[in-house]
Amino acid sequence: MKMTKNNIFLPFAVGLLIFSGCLKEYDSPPVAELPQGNIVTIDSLRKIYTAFDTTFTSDLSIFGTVTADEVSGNLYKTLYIQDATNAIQLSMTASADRLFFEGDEVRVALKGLTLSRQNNMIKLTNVNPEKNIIKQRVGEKITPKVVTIQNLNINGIYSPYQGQLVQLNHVEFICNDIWSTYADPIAQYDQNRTLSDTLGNTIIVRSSGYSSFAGTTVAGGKGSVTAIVSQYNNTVQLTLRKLDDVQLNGSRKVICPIYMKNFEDQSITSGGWTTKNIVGNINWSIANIGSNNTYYAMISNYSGSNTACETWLVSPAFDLTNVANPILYFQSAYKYSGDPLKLYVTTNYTGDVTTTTWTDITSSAIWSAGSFVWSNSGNINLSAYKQAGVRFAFKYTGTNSNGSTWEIDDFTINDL
Amino acid sequence: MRNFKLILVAFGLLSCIEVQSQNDTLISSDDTLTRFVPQFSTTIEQLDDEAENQDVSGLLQSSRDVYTSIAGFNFGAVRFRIRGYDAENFTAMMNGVPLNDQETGRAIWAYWGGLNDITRYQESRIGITSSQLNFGGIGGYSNIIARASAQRKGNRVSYAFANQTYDHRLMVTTSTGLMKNNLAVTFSGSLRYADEGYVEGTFFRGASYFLSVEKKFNEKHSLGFVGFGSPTVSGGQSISVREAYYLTGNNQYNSYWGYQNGEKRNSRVRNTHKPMMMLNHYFKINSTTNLNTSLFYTFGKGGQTRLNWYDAADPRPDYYRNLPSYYYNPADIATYELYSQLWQTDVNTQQLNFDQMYFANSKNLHSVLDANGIKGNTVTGNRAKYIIEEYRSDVQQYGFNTTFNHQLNDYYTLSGGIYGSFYKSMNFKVLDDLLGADYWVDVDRFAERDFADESAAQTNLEIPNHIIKKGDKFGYDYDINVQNLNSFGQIEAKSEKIDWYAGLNFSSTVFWRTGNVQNGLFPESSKGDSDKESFINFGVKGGATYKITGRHLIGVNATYFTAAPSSRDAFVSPRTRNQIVDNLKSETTTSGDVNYMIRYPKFKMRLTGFYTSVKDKTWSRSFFHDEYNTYVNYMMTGVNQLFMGTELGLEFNISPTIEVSTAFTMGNYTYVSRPKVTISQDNSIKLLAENKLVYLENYKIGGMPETAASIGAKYNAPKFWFAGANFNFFMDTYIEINPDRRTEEALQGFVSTDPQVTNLLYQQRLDDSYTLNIFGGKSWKIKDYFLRINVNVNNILDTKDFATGGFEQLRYDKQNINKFPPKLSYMYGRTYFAMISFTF
Repeated sequence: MKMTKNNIFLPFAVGLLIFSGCLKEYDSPPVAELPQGNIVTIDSLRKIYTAFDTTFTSDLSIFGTVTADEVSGNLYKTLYIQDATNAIQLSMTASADRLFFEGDEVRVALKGLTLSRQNNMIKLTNVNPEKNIIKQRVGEKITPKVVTIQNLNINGIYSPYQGQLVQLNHVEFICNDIWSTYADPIAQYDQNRTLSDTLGNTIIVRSSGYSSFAGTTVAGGKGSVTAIVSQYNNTVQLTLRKLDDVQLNGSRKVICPIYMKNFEDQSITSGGWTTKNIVGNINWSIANIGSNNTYYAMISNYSGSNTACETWLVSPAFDLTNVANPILYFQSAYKYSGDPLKLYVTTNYTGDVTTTTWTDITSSAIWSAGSFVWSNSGNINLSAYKQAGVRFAFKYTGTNSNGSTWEIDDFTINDL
Repeated sequence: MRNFKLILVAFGLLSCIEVQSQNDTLISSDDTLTRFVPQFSTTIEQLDDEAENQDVSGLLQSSRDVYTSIAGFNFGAVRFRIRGYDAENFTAMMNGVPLNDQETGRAIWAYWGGLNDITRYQESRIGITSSQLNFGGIGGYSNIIARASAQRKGNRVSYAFANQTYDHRLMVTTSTGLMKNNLAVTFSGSLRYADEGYVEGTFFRGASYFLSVEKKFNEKHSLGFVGFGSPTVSGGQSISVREAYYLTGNNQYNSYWGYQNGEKRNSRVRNTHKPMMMLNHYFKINSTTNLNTSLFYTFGKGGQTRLNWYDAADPRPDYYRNLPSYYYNPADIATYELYSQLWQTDVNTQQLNFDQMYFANSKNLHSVLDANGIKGNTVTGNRAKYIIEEYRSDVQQYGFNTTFNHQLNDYYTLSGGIYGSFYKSMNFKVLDDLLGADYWVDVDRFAERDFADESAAQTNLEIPNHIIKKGDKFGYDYDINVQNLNSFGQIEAKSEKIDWYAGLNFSSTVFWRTGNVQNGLFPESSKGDSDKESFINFGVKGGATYKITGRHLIGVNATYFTAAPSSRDAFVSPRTRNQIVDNLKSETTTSGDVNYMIRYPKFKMRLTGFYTSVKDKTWSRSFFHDEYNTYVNYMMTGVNQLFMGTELGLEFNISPTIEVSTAFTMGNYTYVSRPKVTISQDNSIKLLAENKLVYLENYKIGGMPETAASIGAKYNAPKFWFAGANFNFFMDTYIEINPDRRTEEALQGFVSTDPQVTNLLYQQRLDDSYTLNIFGGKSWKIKDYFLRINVNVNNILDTKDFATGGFEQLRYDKQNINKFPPKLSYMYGRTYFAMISFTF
């Protein structure tokens, strides 16, 4: 054989050389460029707003990290984004609950969007999540700014932290709210709860009735809360992103009552309350008529005509053994003539109202004067009942000819 | 003296066995690979659309060319395509009659599957080559010699045991040879069976038959008849997304099957039987002139079932909304994990849930008013939410083929021929299974919602609100007619230093659609004949081999030809209307290769460089878009492709018993133009896009490894056994791209720094991989009989994570490219094929 290594592989190597020289760059459709000058910071964007809404007609972009998404349902068609300079709310034409998440870094193309002020909140509106928001990367870390409630106060027209993610330390919800849920998950109303710092400064936490935590009872301890700062006219309020944002596990500064049933969860029987019909079938129900979306327990035997009835509402058992000076108070209101509502106490509940020995303490309370005027019962001294198994009961009676409408709320046991 | 005789006999036997055993290896490997989709396979995307299995690798394994036969054996499993060419560039013939499908241009192996004892006898050449049978393409040709008088006299029975498409195969072949009455008869038949194939949920039941009879009238005239067919019923395998493979830990995950009453059922059942018959007249005019004429007829059924649904959830387990990733949400990992776990542990989530479909069908009492177009005719019963329908593509084709050759003198041979074919395919849907419901209504579920005019929803205006029961035709019904006349002429010359040839080709192609129903959306253009598209094409080819010495040769081949676009690419939406793709024109191919060959008794080599340019190709794809609830059709025209690369084949006999061989190829197969794409919907007149420019230049055609290498060794023991192994390496496999992602419109709204731009434009390259195949065999001579055993084990290392191809889904979300990730297919793990045969 005459061939050598060379004459086998030389043409081959030459072929490879020619061949590799032919590898070319992939084609690309024309792509728009984003010159440095077309990128604006969120802070300078906000400053563009003077007195009127502005719709952008040029190819400007802002970059920012999503601080609040729609996952919990507390925001709808809304995102907040923040950069090193400031933050802004994006008001979208459609929900983006499967598109954008907290920690996504995005570019927002401003062309066609409007910078507007609604109830003193500055936002970008008309944002199409599929066109105007372009995800850059995911998993960016966002550290909330630690502020005090005072810092958030309105300065001029705006709160200086509008749209930003902030953290408040050493705060707690006020006593009146800790027996409530964050919002109304049944009627799906937004509701306000009030946070207080140790100095007594307060701020509203406003949550959507559609949020996944609307039906969760407000945290009772003291600690930190992370939230987005928003503003409604002259009110600064906080928007929670998720339940994890509320870290209130420490002991409170302001001690709250031992127990309160405020009916805000729209349930008569939650927390161990029971009802019993001895006569007729009239029952206690939840109402909020004339009380601006706060709920109470109500009973009436009138529906076109009166129905004879005797209906009990029995509390769960309380252990007052270690309470120094136990007291009870509640709110009542009534209208229309009929038998008065009775209040009883027992330490030996048999499970059946008719066989239980009850002590009538109706006269210890101050009752509503009628016309649905709410009256505080005053402090009812319970020092005679410092033991376990203490239960209270409201007895409503009506006849075929008359009957009042009674309303009860904020049933509270406290240590004086 | 006696010793000498013994040695002679032994030697004679040995050489005979050697030849035999080699052949057997070829045969068995050819069997091993029939499931795979090798050299001239379809694109993977069409596989997803359940196109026919177009594997012709079996035809190439016994090629005399070292490179070709190694590639045929070892590259088949990875969708390798010789020189990157599509199957339509390769001509498969039987007795000189082209077998390529008239609509797609491709040769379809399944039509003669299981007839390995017959298809083994063939003549194959690849690349641009001289041929006395037809003009051929750039891929080359194989001609199966089915003439009864040419079959080896004898009988053969074989049984094969495997774990691939089928588990068992029984084959019987008998040939009389030319008997005293001048009659020769060959019969071959086989049965192939798998209750469940290598892939879960698949099955295979196939029979094949072949009969060839030849009568020699005199020295000049012989008349032959050949009839064959291969009725096959098989369950399909899906191609899925990485997530599904990952969740199941099974790269052969198959979404097509599910349980029904505790039994596995495959929703994609292929049922084909397209027998062919031919009459051949062999006319030896004189010692230098032959005229062979054939008449042929093919007919039969091609069916493919699939699920359809109306007003119901998509039942496919790997549909993107049914996969856990759809529920991925960083704030709620629990839900995602719950779905992941369900997908992994609940077979009814992981696979189809037939029982659920039966249940849904049993709870859907519904009344159809004015049913079957009869006023006041109300049909009440359970209207099917889910059905299994069968897509049918039945054919009828007849034609003639005549070839002529004449040896002018010692140097020149002239040949020529004419082929004529009349082809018709009948395409419609048949209701296969109502899945417990009482009826299906033949209306377009999407058109129904979208158009105020109620008749728009009707797929057949002549029978509105057509109530469909099992076995009824519905949905669409059209014929594709193709008439083809093809002629060629060739001159070949042989001399001491130079051999050369030159050929010419003229052809005429006419095709049209005939709609058999009037569609409510396209009342004017759905029924009756479409315009007849006609194309006149021509081609020239030539080549020369210069013999430097008898051992060293240099060859060049070149061709230039035009070819009619395939009718399958020509209609905007053949299911619904006669509309033809704008700018439809013939494609033009320019191709050449340069070869250097070395031929020593112990050393053979071929080194080739090739270059092929195809211009003005038409590219079409259809897919079901669930948001539009209809088929969306992509048609690209003006697609130019460039194929260039090198091939090297080496064979070295180190000793009389040890042989080493190598094949290597490296190619670059790219798009080289900016085509225009038009996107239409089956159920709407308005186009989703019209003549959108696609920035496709220099993208890889993809779907196959561009670089492949194989090195093998074989030991032929003197004691009538042999064993060998091949190590194969594959790289540069790119996934097939979605043209729509490379348009200006797709990038609208993005700037160069946005990651979406890269995500949209990037063409994914799959990982390199390698396989090791081994084979061996032994033969015994018992009196005049031969008993042989062959065993092949492919991918003995059981590599299961080798993605051999994939394609970008045509549906995409430009903001989130991972929402519709590419679909990938993986190579089988270890497979075996063992055969015992008895020749007498």
